[in-house]
Amino acid sequence: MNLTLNVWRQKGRTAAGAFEKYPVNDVSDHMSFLEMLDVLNEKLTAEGKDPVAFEHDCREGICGSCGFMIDGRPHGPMPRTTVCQLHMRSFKDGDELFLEPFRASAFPILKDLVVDRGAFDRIVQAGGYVSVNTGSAPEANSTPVPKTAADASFDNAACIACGACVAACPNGAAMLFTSAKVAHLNLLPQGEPERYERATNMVLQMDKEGFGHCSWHGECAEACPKGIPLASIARMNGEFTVANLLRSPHVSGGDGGG
Amino acid sequence: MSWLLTFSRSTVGAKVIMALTGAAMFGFLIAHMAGNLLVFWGAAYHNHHALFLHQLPELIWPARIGLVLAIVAHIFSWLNLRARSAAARPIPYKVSKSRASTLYSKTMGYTGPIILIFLVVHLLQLTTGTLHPNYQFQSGGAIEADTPAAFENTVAILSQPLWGIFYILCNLLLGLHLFHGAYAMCRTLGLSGDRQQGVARALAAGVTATIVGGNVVIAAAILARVVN
Ligand code: FES
Repeated sequence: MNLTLNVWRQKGRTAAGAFEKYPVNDVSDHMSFLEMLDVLNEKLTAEGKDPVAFEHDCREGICGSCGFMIDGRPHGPMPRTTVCQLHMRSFKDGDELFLEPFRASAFPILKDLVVDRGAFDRIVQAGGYVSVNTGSAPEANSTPVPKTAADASFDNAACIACGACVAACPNGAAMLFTSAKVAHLNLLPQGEPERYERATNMVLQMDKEGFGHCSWHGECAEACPKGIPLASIARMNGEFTVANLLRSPHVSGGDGGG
Repeated sequence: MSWLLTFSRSTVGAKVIMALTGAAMFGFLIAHMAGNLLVFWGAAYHNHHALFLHQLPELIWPARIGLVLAIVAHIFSWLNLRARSAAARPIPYKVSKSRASTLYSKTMGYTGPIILIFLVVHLLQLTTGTLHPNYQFQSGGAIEADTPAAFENTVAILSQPLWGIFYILCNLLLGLHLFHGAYAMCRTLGLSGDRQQGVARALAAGVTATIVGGNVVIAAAILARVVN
């Protein structure tokens, strides 16, 4: 099939960007979207032009490196699919597509379709840890975890931090990401000691990074390639509120990372 | 108290404040609609209801002050959140397609201010009488003379076609706001997981239909001169 791509080209953080049009011909149905871009980049390189920068690593949908907007949707049209796992059979001959980077002030553009998602790392640093006592290893299975808690925690642990939730949210909010990271640990007995500090510190860091608020449009959960449920945000709100209103309001900073 | 400030300024805390103040306003709207249904029993009942409330200043004034504070907190939290979210995506997408947002969720920022304007008009017409062509008080003793003739005043406004239609339209817009507001409230307060999402939606639909349905039936009945 033959496609026309309008790709956002931007040389660096502060440079001005613009869309550029590229025809891509003889695209096979079996290619992944990134392979199609590889073909385009080979051609651009051969012509002595700057190839399109996009982030990728595993190409298996598990690392969370890839991701940009394809025609107004993060990771493109297929639900529960990262762009590296998106196949060209999802498109048809003659399609004209717009490729844009994830747009959020907390995700500055580094080059073309690559954004800096360091804000996510700082949110995780603010509370995404559990305290473990040093000394002899504990007895195996000495901390029983209820099956339902393990399952719910695992569902949230599936988050690959790709940033699609932020990209899809009309408010540029990182609520789904942050709530997945909070729920992942808060649902387990191992996460219990820092439970309320975690919710507070991660939410405050999220705010500090300049992400927006939740107005329950629900776009994030639909865009999430890993199916993180919207309910995680409701849970995080509850934990943050309890932490602030009913519990001791002292925020401890980072003294729990043992 | 600094923690309260931190809480109320955070994106989550500000939403909790919007949810709690929204809940207070829901309570008021239900009571307001129920009280006004008395127009169907006639002037005597409706006016007596006004008189009854008028004789309870210890109930009315705290409620009024509470509602004003709730509205102010609701608006300020929204302004704070809106400013943050506008800053969170300064450059819009060239192409953007939605998968989940609804007419209700997308219009909250417009229906809210319209409701505020409607509220001001409504208060000037029927509470203070400033915008009323013929504002009347009840007859009888001293307390009656101090109490507005709720029935006559309401009928005088809503029986005018333009005002009647204005009230009905504003109530329908109110419905858009309430439907998403009630749903968001359940979720913000952590009352609904994904399995109860349907319950939250159904609850929102029920409360909204009750409030808006009641108000519209009252306005339509007066407009159609069924109640006069
Ligand atoms: S490249 Fe790893 S998830 Fe797409």
